[in-house]
Amino acid sequence: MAIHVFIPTLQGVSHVQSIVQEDVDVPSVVCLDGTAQSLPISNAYYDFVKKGQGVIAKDFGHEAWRVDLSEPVEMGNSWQLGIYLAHYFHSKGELGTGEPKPGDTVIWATGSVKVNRDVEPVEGVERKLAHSSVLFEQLQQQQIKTLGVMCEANHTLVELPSYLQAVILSSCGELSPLLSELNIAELNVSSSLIEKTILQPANVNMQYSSKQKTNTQKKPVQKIQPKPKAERPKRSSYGLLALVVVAGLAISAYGLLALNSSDKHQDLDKTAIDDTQHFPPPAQGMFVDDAKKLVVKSDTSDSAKVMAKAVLASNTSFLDTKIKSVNQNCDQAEGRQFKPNDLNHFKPQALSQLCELSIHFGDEAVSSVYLYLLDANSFLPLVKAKLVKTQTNWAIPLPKNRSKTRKALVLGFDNTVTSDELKKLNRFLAMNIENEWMNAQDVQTLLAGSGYKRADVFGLTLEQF
Amino acid sequence: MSPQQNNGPMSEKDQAILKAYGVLNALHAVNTHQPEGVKKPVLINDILAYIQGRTTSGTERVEVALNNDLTVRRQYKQLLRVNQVEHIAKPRAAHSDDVFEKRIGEQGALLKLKQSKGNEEQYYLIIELPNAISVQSDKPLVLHANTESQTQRAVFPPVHDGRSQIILNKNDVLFSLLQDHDVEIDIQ
Repeated sequence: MAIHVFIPTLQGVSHVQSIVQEDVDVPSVVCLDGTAQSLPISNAYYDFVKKGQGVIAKDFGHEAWRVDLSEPVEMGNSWQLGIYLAHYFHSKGELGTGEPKPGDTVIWATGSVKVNRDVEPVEGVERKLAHSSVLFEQLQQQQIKTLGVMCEANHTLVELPSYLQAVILSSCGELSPLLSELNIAELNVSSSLIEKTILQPANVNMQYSSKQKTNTQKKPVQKIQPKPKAERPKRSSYGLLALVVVAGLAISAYGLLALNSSDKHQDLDKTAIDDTQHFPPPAQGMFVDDAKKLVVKSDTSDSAKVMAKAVLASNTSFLDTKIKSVNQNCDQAEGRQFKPNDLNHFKPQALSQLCELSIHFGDEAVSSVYLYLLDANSFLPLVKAKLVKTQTNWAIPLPKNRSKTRKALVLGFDNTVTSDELKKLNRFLAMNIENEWMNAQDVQTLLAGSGYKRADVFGLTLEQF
Repeated sequence: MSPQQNNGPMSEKDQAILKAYGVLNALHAVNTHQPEGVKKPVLINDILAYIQGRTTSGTERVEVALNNDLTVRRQYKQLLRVNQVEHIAKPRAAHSDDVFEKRIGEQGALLKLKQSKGNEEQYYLIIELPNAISVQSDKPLVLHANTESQTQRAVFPPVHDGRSQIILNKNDVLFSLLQDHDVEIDIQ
């Protein structure tokens, strides 16, 4: 299911055709229909992207993008909401090209986005709706789910066509009203989503969306209200505090590390952490589940089979989890193990369903393990988990605040790492991960080139929805 | 209504009208007739407009004249030096078949050519101006690329955050010209 983003203007409606990451020294640009013509909003888009000034670089981890739109957008800021959402779905690999097919979803969005991600009202929405009426009719004929996304102020001023499902979005930092609607679409498409949602976190939304689904059936124009701000979790608080004791390390290193980790934890508590910085996505790596299927399937090409076998044989490390299903307690959670893909990334895990998390380094002799938090640029030492007798697992503490996606690297070293080395590593990772779009495999290669030849690096994503 | 027929002698008024008509016709002919082989000259204002990035009725004539009229070319070169933002001399490095990535001007301006990741047939041509070079915030930049035999110009949007860029197609004449190891570049 692809998600297509349409941006209405006072002259018509334009759709996002593609988003491409360009080299960092290229100023971000909006082009018309894949041509060499840059649109007049390019400078404004550049500012919308730019780190420190805009939100795109901050939220999507890169500062140079090219967006292609089907029709010109020449002025104003109302394109910002649509472009932000397009970036979001692009980062999830779900952005369509603006040519929806049955089963896809169309987002019709207008609104300006402030630096703090609040969505601001814009003018001319009635006229924009009028210009989009033909589009809405076509989408209705094709039975393509269409969401009208605006802030509350704009929604109260206009009457949306009955076919359009209204979604109120007050902030781009709180996309759950929109994501809930999209989960409804997934539930409508396939009842087998329950298995899928366990892997692709959404149990909170599933409860919410089930309720919404009923409501939507009764009343198509259902405005999904975001939670009041007071009820929303605070962005700045970071709850990743747990398991500070560093057991099993050499006594000389123990003192240093314990001191260091304790200080770090205090810092994490007090410091307002921008949780929106994104780690490079796992890309299209092959996971063990996929590899197993490919090996068995008769119509798999030889090259795919070779790669699948390599994935199965290559890595003995795995992520050990205890996952609960919807409406279950952690007492009923089941153990599941996940091997990394060929880029050394584990399958993203749903924070709302995780009860326990640890990593096993397989055959590798590992004596110290650190979690490198991408949003805080800091290391958290991991301790050996006590629950497993026959194998050595390293416990990964779960954040207290589970409403935000967390991205991290897990680094296992065959020897003890001193605090000075950790500082150097921190600078090294902060610099490289910020400037480069790299996966865990790349980080491991870089570390190997810097003298850490026995370091194992894995990418870990704990998703909030 | 059919015209009224009059076979008598013409009145003085009619004669005056006829005379005026003849004079107007003759004037029109003088104004519009272009004798064969005579071309409208390229004026200094036409060259100036071309340098400043404006497109006028004389632009085409200027482009032709720049390639075959030494006087026009000399005037063009002289005018280029007036209000010049930056001059990028011929590259000193040995000629390479690779697409050039970066040229540095006499005052530190950078000219970069980056292939688009979204479309391999397109390249970003980026001008980066150092703080020392100040230009009006709303003034478009005009890039002039010259070899001994060819001239091309491109109008860039006003500088934003010290940079301005356009997108070139790989088959654009300017793209080929920029690869020429004899190319001199002026930014207005």
